[in-house]
Amino acid sequence: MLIELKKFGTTLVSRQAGKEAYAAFLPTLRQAGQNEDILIDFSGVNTFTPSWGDEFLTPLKEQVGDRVKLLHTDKNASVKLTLEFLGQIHSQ
Amino acid sequence: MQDSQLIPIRKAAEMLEVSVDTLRRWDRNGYFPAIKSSGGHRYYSMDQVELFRKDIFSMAKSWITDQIGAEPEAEFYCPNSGVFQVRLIRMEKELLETRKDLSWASLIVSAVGEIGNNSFDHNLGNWRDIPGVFYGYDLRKKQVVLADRGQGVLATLRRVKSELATDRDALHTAFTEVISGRAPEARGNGLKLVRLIVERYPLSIDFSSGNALATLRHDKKMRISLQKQSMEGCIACIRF
Repeated sequence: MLIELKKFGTTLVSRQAGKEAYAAFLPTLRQAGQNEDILIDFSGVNTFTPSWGDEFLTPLKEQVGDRVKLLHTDKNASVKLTLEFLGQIHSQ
Repeated sequence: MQDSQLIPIRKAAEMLEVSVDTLRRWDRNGYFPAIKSSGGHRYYSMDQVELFRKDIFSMAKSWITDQIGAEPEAEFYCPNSGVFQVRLIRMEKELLETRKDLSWASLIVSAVGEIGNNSFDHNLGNWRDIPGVFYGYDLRKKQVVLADRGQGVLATLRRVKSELATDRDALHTAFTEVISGRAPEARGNGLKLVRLIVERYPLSIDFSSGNALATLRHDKKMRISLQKQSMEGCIACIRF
């Protein structure tokens, strides 16, 4: 299953917006096969912060674990930094 | 100053894009004093007005330190997070028009977004008087200013860490610990990310709450100092 994050917006910055995006995404997620990878594509995202990311990626990873794969994360400094930061705080 | 033309209050208000009442109030509280004619009419020197016009930080500081809470000028006022979001996106667009460097723009927008959204997240339903934030930016001066008349960092974090005693302690905690005034919700990342951005990229941020000032510079360790004037709420200046 391929999810283009830009369809949720290109400036992904607030907790409310991240929460709402995940809630809107859940019905789609439920349609994924039990072993199907969930590909999250960051192409076209301008700004991505941990507030938004924590409300979307964190529950997604809790739901599907290693089946989440992130694509095109290296073209944008805020995407790279936020993913690094979220990785740090969740490993503490 | 002697050579600078004097202009009447109405003209000064027009140039500064504030109301005449705002200028009268600023004169009364000493923030932006007027020159009074013998008839009691207020005048301002053109130099004084020109200088002030360009200083968004002074305007924000005046707003949060004003004893009487009033909405800031519409151009800078975000009464809720929705308005803030729209204006943040507009700034992002303007940054990209100035310099076609998405990474650079995205880091500035990230820092501004996290600081601004913090104001709403921690003060929703609990504003001291005026809800929302002051949000102004000047891309020529490479400066963004955010301010709120909220509870301030100490009062907010004391809800979850009652041993915090001073504004300095509170700011230090806010910038170094993953903790939130809205615990047990899992949040509290924003200012940590802001600090990480400044460590990695050439931005500088001054963030005040109460009588403490956090100074974040790209090539230096974060410093938290006492400032003379104590301010309720928060004010931040981001330079890039």
